Amino acid sequence: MVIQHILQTIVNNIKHQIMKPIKLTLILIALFTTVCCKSQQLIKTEKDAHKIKENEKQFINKPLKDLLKEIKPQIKRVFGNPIKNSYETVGYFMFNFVDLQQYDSLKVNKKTPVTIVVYVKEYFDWDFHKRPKGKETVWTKDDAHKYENLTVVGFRVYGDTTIAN
Amino acid sequence: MHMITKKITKIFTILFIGLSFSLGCSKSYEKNLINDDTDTDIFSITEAKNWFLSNSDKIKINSINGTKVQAIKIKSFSVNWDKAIFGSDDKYSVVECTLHFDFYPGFNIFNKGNTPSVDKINGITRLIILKDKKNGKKQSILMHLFSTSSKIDESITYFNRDKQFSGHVFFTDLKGNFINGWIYENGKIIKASKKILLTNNIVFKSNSIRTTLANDVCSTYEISWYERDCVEYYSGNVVCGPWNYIGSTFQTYCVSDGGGGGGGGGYQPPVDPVTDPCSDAQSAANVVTSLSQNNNYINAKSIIQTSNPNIEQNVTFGKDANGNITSSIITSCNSSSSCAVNTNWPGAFSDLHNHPDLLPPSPGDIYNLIGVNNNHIGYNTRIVVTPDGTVFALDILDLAMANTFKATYPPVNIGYVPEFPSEIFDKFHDVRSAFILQGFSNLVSEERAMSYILDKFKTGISLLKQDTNGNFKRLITNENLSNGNTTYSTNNCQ
Repeated sequence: MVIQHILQTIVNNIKHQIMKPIKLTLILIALFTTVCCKSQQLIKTEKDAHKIKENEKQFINKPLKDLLKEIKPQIKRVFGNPIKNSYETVGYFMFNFVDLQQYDSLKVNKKTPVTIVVYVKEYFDWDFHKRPKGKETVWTKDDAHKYENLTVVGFRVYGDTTIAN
Repeated sequence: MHMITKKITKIFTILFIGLSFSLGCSKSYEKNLINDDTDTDIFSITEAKNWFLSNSDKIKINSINGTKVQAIKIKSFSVNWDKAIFGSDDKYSVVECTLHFDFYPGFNIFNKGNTPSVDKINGITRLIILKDKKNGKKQSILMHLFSTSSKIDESITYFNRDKQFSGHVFFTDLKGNFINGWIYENGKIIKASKKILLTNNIVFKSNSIRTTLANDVCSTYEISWYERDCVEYYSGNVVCGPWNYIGSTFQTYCVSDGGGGGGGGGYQPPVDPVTDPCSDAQSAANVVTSLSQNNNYINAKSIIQTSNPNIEQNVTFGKDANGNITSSIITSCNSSSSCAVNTNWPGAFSDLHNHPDLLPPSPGDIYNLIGVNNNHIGYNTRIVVTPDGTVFALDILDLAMANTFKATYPPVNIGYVPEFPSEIFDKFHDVRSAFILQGFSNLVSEERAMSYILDKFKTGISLLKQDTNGNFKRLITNENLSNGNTTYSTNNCQ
């Protein structure tokens, strides 16, 4: 009986010793997967911009923030165009991954940078001339927060994906 | 002796080969139609070929040795230089070549509004290189033939029309943009393409248009473009796949007394009836100004402006049997299905609606008006009033041009709202943002961008704005290129 108990204890200890690193490994794998999944954004580079159109059902009638969190490259230029009456036309944001100067320089060379136009259902407050002087076209964290709940109703994606940022 | 005989034989052989070669290459066609005897500056096939090959980059199309370039309507083609033929008339020396296409073009041409029959599709397209006899300037165009009897005679050329030929001969640039055309019946020209302005003293009668100015009877034709893949076997057999529809253009043809190059029916660049854009739109501007002074208009506009500013309201204006202006009841656009204008109002020729936003006429207004005008001849004006009382008017000056614009740049739907396709949208945004960055308001920037787009993309539509005196004037925005920079400026009509 005593021998049996001793043997059982030894087996348990061995089990514990083996299981400990396995458990740790499993926890680490779970953590890694979670982090990786979080960083698996749909639009990793400008070249992926067209994926928005391909996956538009994922974003239509959803808040703007759902779309924005899938875009990894930094939005460097934005133009807003709010509309009150959605039966006439729809308001939109026009996003680029190049800043105003780069945009103008590309246009001079007859190139069109990658452009994502996001149409939204609701009227939103946007007056170019009331935005911070010199930074009117800069998309800020405050903007992202302010407009995050606007409902996305459509997209337009175009431009030359071969243009390096 | 043997050596001398050998040499003589050699010389004769060379001469014989040379003579055969030159006779074989020159393949002069329909000699009686060619005025090639007095012209000292004959345009040779070699000269035409060299010019075409060396300019292929500039004219954005290739020849047999070049890189193939895609075009809007006409896909890439190769030129059969060895089968080229030449001729001349009093204006041009002409080289004509048959072509090999990746996809062969075909046409179906019919009076607008008629239903085309699919078995009528046919066509021949050839490359024409012209050298102006006065200044030596060369240009390349495409000649397209379409037979109304479905069967087309391959022997028809730039100079030679078959006496039995009934159909269309029309010319485009290498991208397929229309230049001019002729309609034949039994080998005789019965109609010629004409650029007309619909607002220039026109009396409308059913589907035809009578211009009292030139006393012409004109009508609009739809040219439906098709293409198909064909395989040519060594045996000479050609097997083709089914025709695929690729788009339509619209042209106005008027009864003609003949003319044109080479015995009639040649290349003839159209002359704009009015080249000044302000004169071009003056008649339309006068009509809208006059309408805006009418009591029915003033009352309807007042009701619309004092109604709920967040909802679009619209009213249609017509004319009764005595020519008096009438107005329909005002309808509200508070759902996607209730926004249609009342096109059935008797004598309808114009409508008015408000925009809840400070925006000029929208892309939806433009595309819709083209559709309305096609179904209601004479209904070619749409007026928009904004919350600050600014009044704009869209006016279709050339319906054929507007239809071609709509066919070339069909609207994209964002939800249920028609919008410009991305090419135009992007340009619109660039012009609009250029003015916004200069400090102009959104409304002014939008109206300038819209007037630019309407001209740039050849819509045949003018954007008018009411001035402080109550007169409507055409808005004109120009693009200026200087030192590699693009700027935009206004040159509005006064």
